[in-house]
Amino acid sequence: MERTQVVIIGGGATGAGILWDLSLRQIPAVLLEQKDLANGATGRCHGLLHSGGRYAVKDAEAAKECLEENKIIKHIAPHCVEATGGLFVKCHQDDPKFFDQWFDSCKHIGISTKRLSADEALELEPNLPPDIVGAFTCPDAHVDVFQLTLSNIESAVARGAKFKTYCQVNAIDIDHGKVKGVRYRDTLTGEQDYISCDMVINAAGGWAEKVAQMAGVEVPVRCDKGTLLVLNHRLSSRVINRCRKPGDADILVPAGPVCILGTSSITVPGPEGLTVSPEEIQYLLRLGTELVPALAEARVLRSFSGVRPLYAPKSVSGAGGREISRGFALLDHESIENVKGFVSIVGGKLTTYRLMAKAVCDLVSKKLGVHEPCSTHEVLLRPRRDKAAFQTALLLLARPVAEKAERRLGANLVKIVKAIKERPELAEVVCECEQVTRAELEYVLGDETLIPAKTITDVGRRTRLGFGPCQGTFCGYRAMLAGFQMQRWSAAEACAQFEQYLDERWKGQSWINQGKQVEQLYLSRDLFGVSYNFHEEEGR
Amino acid sequence: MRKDRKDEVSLDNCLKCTDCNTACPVVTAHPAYPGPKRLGPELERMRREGIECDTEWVEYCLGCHRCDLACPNQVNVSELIARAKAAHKKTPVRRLRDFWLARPGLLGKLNTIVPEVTNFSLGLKPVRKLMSMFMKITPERKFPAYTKPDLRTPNVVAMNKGERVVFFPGCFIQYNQPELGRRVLELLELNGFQPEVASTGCCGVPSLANGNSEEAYKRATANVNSMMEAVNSGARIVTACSSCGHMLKTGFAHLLEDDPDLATKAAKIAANTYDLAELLVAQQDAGKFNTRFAPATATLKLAYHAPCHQKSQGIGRPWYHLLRQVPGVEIEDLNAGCCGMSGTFGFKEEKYPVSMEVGGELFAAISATAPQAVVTECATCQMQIEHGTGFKAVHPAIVLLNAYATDAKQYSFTADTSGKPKDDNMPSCA
Repeated sequence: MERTQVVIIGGGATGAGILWDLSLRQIPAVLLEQKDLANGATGRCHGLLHSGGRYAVKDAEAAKECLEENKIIKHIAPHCVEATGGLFVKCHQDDPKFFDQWFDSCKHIGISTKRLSADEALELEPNLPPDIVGAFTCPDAHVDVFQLTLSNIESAVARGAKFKTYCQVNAIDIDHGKVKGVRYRDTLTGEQDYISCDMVINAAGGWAEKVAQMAGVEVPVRCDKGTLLVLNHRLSSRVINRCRKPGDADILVPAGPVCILGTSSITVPGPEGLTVSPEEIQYLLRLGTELVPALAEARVLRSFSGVRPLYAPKSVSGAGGREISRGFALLDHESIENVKGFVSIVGGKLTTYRLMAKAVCDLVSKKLGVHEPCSTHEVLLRPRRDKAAFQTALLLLARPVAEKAERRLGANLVKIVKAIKERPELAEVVCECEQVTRAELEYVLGDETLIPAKTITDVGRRTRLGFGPCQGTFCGYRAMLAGFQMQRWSAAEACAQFEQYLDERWKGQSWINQGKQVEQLYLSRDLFGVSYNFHEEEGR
Repeated sequence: MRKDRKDEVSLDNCLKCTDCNTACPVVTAHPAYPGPKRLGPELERMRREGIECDTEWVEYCLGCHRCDLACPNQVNVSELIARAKAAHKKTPVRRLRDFWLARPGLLGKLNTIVPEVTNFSLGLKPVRKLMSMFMKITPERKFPAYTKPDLRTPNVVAMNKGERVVFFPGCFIQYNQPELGRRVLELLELNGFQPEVASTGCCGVPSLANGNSEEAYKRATANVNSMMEAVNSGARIVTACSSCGHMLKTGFAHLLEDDPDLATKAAKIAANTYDLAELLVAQQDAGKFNTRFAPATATLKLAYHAPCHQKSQGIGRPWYHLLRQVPGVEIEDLNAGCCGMSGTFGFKEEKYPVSMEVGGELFAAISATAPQAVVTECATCQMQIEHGTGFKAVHPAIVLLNAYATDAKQYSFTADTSGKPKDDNMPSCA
């Protein structure tokens, strides 16, 4: 039986941040995630590193937190952040009083901003509507949510922490009001197991309520669905916000090669079984077009939705999703319900994940009698780039391929460089849309990485394989074959993997009614469904 | 960031199907070449992300537009590559060389001050050695001879009163083959047109091919403006060089699309530009093609090579169609891909081997056919074919003109023609 001090439930940014924080304080911990890292709300958001501007008028506290964390994350995880900067665009149809209010609030909070005339804003972002009134700048940025989560885990594992993906907690063992351990099931192998521990941290996001119930306590979470659209290429080089009271489809974030438009805000019963309707897509595009007219003709690659796990105690039960604070809540169930060793962290946002982790870890350290202070705000999440390895990579790979690999792999780049030197065929670009080499594919599927991929979709979250315009049409089966050849999967498992992968890729494209994606989808379905018979179901 | 333009949005159309790569002659000849899909729509997404994507490979795009033709989804593949080429950072030597190669009009003017001196010097081994050393121009090739530019609009008195057409000669005819230009004018007259020579400069294709889009923009603007009067008066524009034709028909519109006024003009020019053979076929469709050919005395075995820029015009194979009607002519369509010359591309020392590799299939086809001459309307295709096979290559207009009977002129369909040619009198070579 495995034994550790702290079990963290939930492998999103918050859980990963907690694992990293605890590892820096030398508290042994194991993280359990029911699917893959960053699979829940973390992997289904805009990837916007807020400057605080969005909350400046309504929620100065949240705005301040965002501003502070924005600076810290840019410092500790530069490899995950693209400091694009952002604009708050003053549209002629919006309330001019809000513009001044916004500007004053930002000044008051300390968010650095500058007024731009309409011409200046259009010069920077020619895809804005020509009839805008003007814009304000702000230090918004794009953060790669997958890399951020993975980096936290990887750094923690390097310091001795552990994590288990595809492990679903099915019971929390409580004896005489005190946590004893956690029972979980490996969903890939079906095996049951148990970890004994002193404390359990519930960082399960949308699933926090369910996890809390296992400990017999109540954590009221409001699941607020947000739907987002991925556009084929960047339509802006900065984060574009609409300067008005936060509403639907008023943020466009340049995220890697794509840009992401969102979101909606709809209360749903739970975090699972989310669907997107064609009307919702049309609605987002219609609103988005008011902000960036080019959206009307742009190609939408896929839609996805996630839930904001908002903390909703009885006092706010009547409020709409956008009215509930973006602040987070740390619940010490020992002081509330007298369950010793059980702590929940809910609410908050991606930008404040580190702060949330810090708050939990401060509490947990105190309870465990550890006096090590938090240092996640100053310790870099990853060693600085390996310049020599990058120079060698440039000799072996085309520049964009090397550059992308370096951003994702950091110091591990040297491993794929070595592999390519030994086997030059590994330099093949297997995912053309996102420039992923066979070497990197084999690396994330292999044993050398600290955070191995277990499914083809996991490979995507680690490398962006299949995230581009073809949505896995030409790279998914290559990943399947690689996994089979590396003996990670048997033939039957590999086929099952690929079917699941196709389902997941197709699901995101199936309601897109604009641009070339329908043809792309049918190319994939005809190729794998009709020609290769990967799906028995007809006419889905 | 640049504003989204129509052809950049066209990168959204890419389904990654790879049809463009299968059509690319460089991919076939040179497997290390990344191919149009990668250099075009694939890397364009990265370029827009701000990733450094510059690669020397963009220089290896021939600009043949076969990828554009192959694309089932209207991606302007070659246009995306041309932009990358324009942004490509070159070595100083190549920058100097390409500065000149991008300006055949200027070179033509300078080299034809005393053409004899130019031709003599360009033929000297040491000169070519120096050009190889300092300009990276391959010593393997001979330069085309320069001739005094004396192509003029035919004398008004001698002219008939047919439909007005404006002949756009382009640099090669202007400075190297004015004789061909005169033949073209003669052919036009024979077929009932009243031709004049446009006072235009270089079309801009070499500038684009050498990554100089600013120069190409200047050329396009100047050309469009200088031809507007003629087009507004209802005259059609004729090209005999397929690359010039391609540029007038599609290139100007791309280059000038940001300026609404120039864009309208470019569209008008494009709509009224005809390849010489295309015009003659149209004339034939209207029953006005002069078929007063001299009787065949012997068979003339020809092989036809369609230049890439002829194919990109989407007009079929009008020269093949016309020459087949000439008595005594046996003509075969080679259909063996790109010649690999691509204008100035084949002159570049580092690209010479690729150029010859690309042309390999065509050279083999020509040798297998063993014609008396190869006909192709592109001057640099002619140079490449002669260089690669030793077979003579000529412009089809020369063959057609030579085929006419001495009294053909009076059979042209002009206002004051006395008689009509009788088709049943047409001599046959059978």
